[in-house]
Amino acid sequence: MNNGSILKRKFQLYWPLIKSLQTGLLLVTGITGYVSARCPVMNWQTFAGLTISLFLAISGSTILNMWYDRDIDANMNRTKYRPLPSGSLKSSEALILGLIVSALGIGIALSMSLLFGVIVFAGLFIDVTIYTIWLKRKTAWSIVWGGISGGMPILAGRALGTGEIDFIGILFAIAILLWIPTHILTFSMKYFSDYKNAGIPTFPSTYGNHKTRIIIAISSLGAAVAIAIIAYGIGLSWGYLRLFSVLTVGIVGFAGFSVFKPSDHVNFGLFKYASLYMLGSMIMVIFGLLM
Amino acid sequence: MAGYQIIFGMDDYSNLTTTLYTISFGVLLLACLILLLMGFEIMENDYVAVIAAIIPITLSLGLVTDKFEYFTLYTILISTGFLVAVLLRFFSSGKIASLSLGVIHFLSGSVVFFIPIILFFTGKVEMQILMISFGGILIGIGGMLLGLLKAGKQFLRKEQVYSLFPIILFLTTTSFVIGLAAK
Repeated sequence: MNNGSILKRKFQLYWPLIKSLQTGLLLVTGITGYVSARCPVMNWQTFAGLTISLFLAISGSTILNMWYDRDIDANMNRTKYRPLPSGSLKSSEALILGLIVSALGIGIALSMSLLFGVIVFAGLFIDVTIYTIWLKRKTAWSIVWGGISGGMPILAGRALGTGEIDFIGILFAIAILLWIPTHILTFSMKYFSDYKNAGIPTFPSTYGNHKTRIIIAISSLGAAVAIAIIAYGIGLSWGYLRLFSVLTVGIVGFAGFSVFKPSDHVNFGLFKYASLYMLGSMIMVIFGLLM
Repeated sequence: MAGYQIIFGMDDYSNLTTTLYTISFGVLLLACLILLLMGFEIMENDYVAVIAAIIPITLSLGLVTDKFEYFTLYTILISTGFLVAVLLRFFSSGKIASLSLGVIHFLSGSVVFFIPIILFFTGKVEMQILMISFGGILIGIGGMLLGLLKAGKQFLRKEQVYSLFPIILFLTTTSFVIGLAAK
């Protein structure tokens, strides 16, 4: 095999380790946080640094999670064909890759701003150590920590732009924290038996589907309220606020349906809509402030 | 297109008209998203017909409140009719419910079709407004195809209707957006 083929093969093995869609979505939240600050010294170098450091840090933490969870991934139908549980990639190689990518991401973040770097590091630490290693196999409530770490990129982006942790930044992080249950819990209901086989405690297995759906509805509503306050607080025009309202009606409606007319179909529809809602909200904040 | 209209296309209207158009385009947008995410099986849900009726009702109310001074009678008629249709949907037999909703749908759809024509031929608005009527025809065709399908009287195969429907929705929305931009 020539060098090109080896590189291509490595890329094919490494790429699934970073969960590109999830990483991409979190990266968009980080960029949104930065743009929302309307930083007067916005330039392409800072923007590139933000994007690269967040991409590396988020990817690094995801790789480390994949490395640590390779045993449970092997017990789940949905994940058993991933490079690590399937044996197509050595675990030591993934560990080294995860550590290098994480260190690069945090290093770049710290070199840009101490506050930004500390928040990026906090996100990675909470995600890998507290969520994945310490709590994920012990309690269904671990997702709260998963949610907190998911809120760090947007808080970091906002802090890089404003130079401080402000109320809007915290609200942004809360919006992500409240959105994550909608995302993870609908997923854990869909793949209920997978998680059960792997011995991972989830809300559906601990509290039942009905209570889980109520929690999803409440957290969706909470995320929508947080985003509405943010949208108003950062001064988006009425046009964007109207579109926010429309999309919010959609997520609240979906959540309501999942409680009162539950079905797998509605459940997975909510899962997909929640991702679209968050992505749409972030894009609207970016366009609303830049245009 | 619906999102664009909601964000950028409503600067010149009163609050009431803006709200009505936002609901109309908002339901269109959400309908498209839900179709994308959940597939065409959702069309068989009983709530779809009720929610779909909101589009012509609010669009027609928006046109009436925007272009005519005396809108109270139509507003009262169509709102009461819709309320009755919704109540019948949940508390009566399927046929009466479908009929009442059909009447409301037909009335509001007719207003969406005829008002732009009246406005154009009386010289009040430029020709572009006829695109709203065209959009009304398109969504009417879409509605009829779905209605026939549901009634078991197939004019086209189910797959053909389902593959046509997104195109109809897109062209309808685009026509409404272009039509509403008429001066």
